[in-house]
Amino acid sequence: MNTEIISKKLMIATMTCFVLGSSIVSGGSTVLIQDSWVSVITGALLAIPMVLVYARIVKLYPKKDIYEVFLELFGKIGGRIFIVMFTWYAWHLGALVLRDFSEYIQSTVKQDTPQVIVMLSIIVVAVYLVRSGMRTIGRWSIIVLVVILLVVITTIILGVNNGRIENLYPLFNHKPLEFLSDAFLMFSFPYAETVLFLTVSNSLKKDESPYRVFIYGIAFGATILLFVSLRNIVLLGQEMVRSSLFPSFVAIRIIGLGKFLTKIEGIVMINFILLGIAKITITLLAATKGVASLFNIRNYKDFTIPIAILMVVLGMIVYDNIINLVDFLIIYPIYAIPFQIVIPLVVWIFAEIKFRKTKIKKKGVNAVLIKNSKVYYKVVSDLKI
Amino acid sequence: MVLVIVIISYIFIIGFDYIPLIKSQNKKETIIYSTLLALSFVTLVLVVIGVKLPSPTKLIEYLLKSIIKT
Amino acid sequence: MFGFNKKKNKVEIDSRISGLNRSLSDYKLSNKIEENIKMMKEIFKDNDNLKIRKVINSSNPKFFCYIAFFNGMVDSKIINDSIIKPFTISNLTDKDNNITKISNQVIYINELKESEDLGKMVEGIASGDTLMFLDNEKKVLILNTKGFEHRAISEPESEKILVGPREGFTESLIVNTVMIQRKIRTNQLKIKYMGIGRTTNTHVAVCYIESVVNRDVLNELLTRLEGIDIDAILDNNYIAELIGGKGYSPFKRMRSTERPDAVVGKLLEGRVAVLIDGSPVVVTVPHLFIENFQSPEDYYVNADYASISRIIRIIGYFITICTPSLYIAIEAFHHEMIPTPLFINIAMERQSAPLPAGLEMFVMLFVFELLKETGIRMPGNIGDALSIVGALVIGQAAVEAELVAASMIIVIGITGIAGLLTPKLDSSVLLYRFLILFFTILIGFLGFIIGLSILVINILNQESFGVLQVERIDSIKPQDIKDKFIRRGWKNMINRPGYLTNNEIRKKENG
Repeated sequence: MNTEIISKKLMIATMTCFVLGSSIVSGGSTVLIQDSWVSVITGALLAIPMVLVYARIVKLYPKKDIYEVFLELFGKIGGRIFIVMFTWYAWHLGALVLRDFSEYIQSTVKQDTPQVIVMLSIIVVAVYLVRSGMRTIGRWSIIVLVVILLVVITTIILGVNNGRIENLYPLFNHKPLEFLSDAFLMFSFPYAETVLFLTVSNSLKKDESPYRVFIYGIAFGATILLFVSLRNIVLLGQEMVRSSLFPSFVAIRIIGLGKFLTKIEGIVMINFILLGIAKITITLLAATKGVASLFNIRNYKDFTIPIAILMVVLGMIVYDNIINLVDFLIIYPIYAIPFQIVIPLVVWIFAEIKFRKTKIKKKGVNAVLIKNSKVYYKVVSDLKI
Repeated sequence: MVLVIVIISYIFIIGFDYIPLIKSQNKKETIIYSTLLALSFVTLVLVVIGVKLPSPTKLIEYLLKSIIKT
Repeated sequence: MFGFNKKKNKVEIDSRISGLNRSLSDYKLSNKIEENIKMMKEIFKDNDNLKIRKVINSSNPKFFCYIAFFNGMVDSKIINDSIIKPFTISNLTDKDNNITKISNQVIYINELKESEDLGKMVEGIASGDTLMFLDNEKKVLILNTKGFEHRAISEPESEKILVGPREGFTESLIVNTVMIQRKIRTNQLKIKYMGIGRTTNTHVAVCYIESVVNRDVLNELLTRLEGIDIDAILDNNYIAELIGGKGYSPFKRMRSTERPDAVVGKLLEGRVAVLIDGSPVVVTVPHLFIENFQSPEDYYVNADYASISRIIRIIGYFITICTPSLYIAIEAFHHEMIPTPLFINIAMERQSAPLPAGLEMFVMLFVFELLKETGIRMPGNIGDALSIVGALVIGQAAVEAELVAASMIIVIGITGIAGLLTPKLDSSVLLYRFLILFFTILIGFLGFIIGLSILVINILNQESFGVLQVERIDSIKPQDIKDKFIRRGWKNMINRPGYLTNNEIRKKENG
């Protein structure tokens, strides 16, 4: 049984976990405060056309990951340049998420441990998952999803008492430009990050539809994120949502069950960590595959450990403190444009052109075969002349 | 303390991953793996000790800001 | 890890073994009976158990034969009554001195073979058959006279149940296969014999039910068995390691049991059983993870009670792995997760304990493992006294001397008791207890989750003969759950579990 080929369901589960990855900590963007939940939906809508492009690329090149597509479309040197860029994106993103998480843990839960240790421990699980192959990642994602759903539903039920619907009002109290810019923020973080799934597209079974995979993945992720965002707003109210770094965590502090379980924020930590591991695993997978394709090596699993450590190193140096983290979030959408939009579009256009050419060629060959007799006469008549 | 953990884990990594790789005699893979391993070890130790390495974030911010200005 | 020196030993063994084979192929049977007997004596030189006797026909003294057998391996009554007596008494003339006449009309034996193959002869006589040599005849008769001593059928020590059959396998392969055949009285039951092991040539039997067996697994098993290249197979564990598949895993890849009813149940689900001569333990493949929590007793008691027992076992497994780490995580890192009065009590107690919590837990777990190991190996008489000493005196004294905290002893107690629910998973429990504890000490609750994830991923990865040990996660059907986590009554279990077999046949009808 091949450990790489997985079914549509597992892929969708993995993608959902990835989308939720770091966004579940904040419930999406909090710029619009009480209207934050709107960007969850608008961001997803904005992402759908882009995601369809990704799916189309997968459809045009089934059984190949995007690194192989790079090499095929742009030749050895051009393709390698693209591989380097994409690998850098994956590697950088993984380091950012890693750093995000260890900052979160340091500031809320555990102050003493050096961040290196936290990051190294998280990366251990990611390494294990990558080395176990895509199939294990898929199955693990399903288990994680079940846990996530349980926790989210539980917190929503427990929070019914403490929440106030008025926190959602005034509805739509922002300018349309703000809505648009926030939608774009959500688009790049997290929806269009699914571009990394192009690197694992060779894991999808041949006759499964990549369109379904991407759309369902985004849709499920958006739905769960919507509930989380609504829950946070309803529980916290405007001020807290705007000012807290990790709104989900703060929201859980408010709810409780009678006198006994007053402080259960540890439970949501399970959520965050599992999803964070999922996201980091995919980025690690993408980066490792990239390095392996760069040097034309089939078996990428061997390189996992050094690349994982390098990701930790990058995570350590990428910010000086948590303020930098917030600052970077503002320019992240623009920084991500080349990777999320430009490169896929370029690949798509080139791929479509090539596809049309081969289709014409095929048609041409068939036409020749049909018209064989006529060609023969033409050649003979030409020779005579 | 952290350094000790790092060094012990590297010994494990070398025994677990590296030696079978040498035995299997894929020259290309061994070379690449060795460079990556050495690079990661050096940088990790530097970070743990506390040496400040240059951060790409600043570079990215600088590039983007100059592009936006033009 | 550093396995550079493995090549030498293989060469040495090869030369020794080929020496053995060479010597056997040096010998050849001839027409002259005296030469054959001399050859037998030479082959089995220095083995004083070999007995050779000349049997002469009373009516025609020129008509004789030699029989050879191993003392103690044969049933003397059969030899006396069915071989020596008829041969001595019957009226034979010189014309009758051919092997067909002798085998068909003179001696009375239910299983009889003619052979010129020395290997088969040696194998036969070493299993308890008798060899009969005739004059002017190259072929030798191999007569079934097996009658060696073996243990009576008794209840297996390690798999005691409250209610149900108390038969257990013995060390004799024939007896074991018979126990299985008695429960499955159909022609669909197949039993294939193989001989494995260069020196021991141990008999191994592979059993399966043809209509339901999973063919891929069967093929894989047979291939692996045929590929075994070792001196001796003494026990099922040898086989388990040799054909289990590559890589180390704390989880077993085959299920071993000493109960015939368990084996028969597994055969009916489409699994294959491997029986080994000399070992009362029978191995079934493939092995699913959930089988670690199942026991044959589940089928002899009330369905609901059995379901609850199974669920308790599964919970117990996770309790025994997670409890030490949870205790450390909550007490040392996350005080706010438990109600405050409870925490104050625990904290007051811990005031007096000298070691940091994590270290103390490590030491206590280690001591617990020591106690458990001692308990297994101790001879019976010392057992009681030592347990009193160990549990009460030392435990009590340690708490009163304030070396350890009382709450920690409670935690260790819970861990230990829960661990006894699933003895088959001991190796994984031991490993993961310490692994998760290590991560928890390092980073608190996060470490606990990381360790738990590693455990879950390891379980997900397990494979047994090409079949994943954890079933379809993406498409769980009610059909699968019926007999895995809970046990529904027999009225509800109409179809066989579809995961293992390709042919779903109704269980209640005659398959």
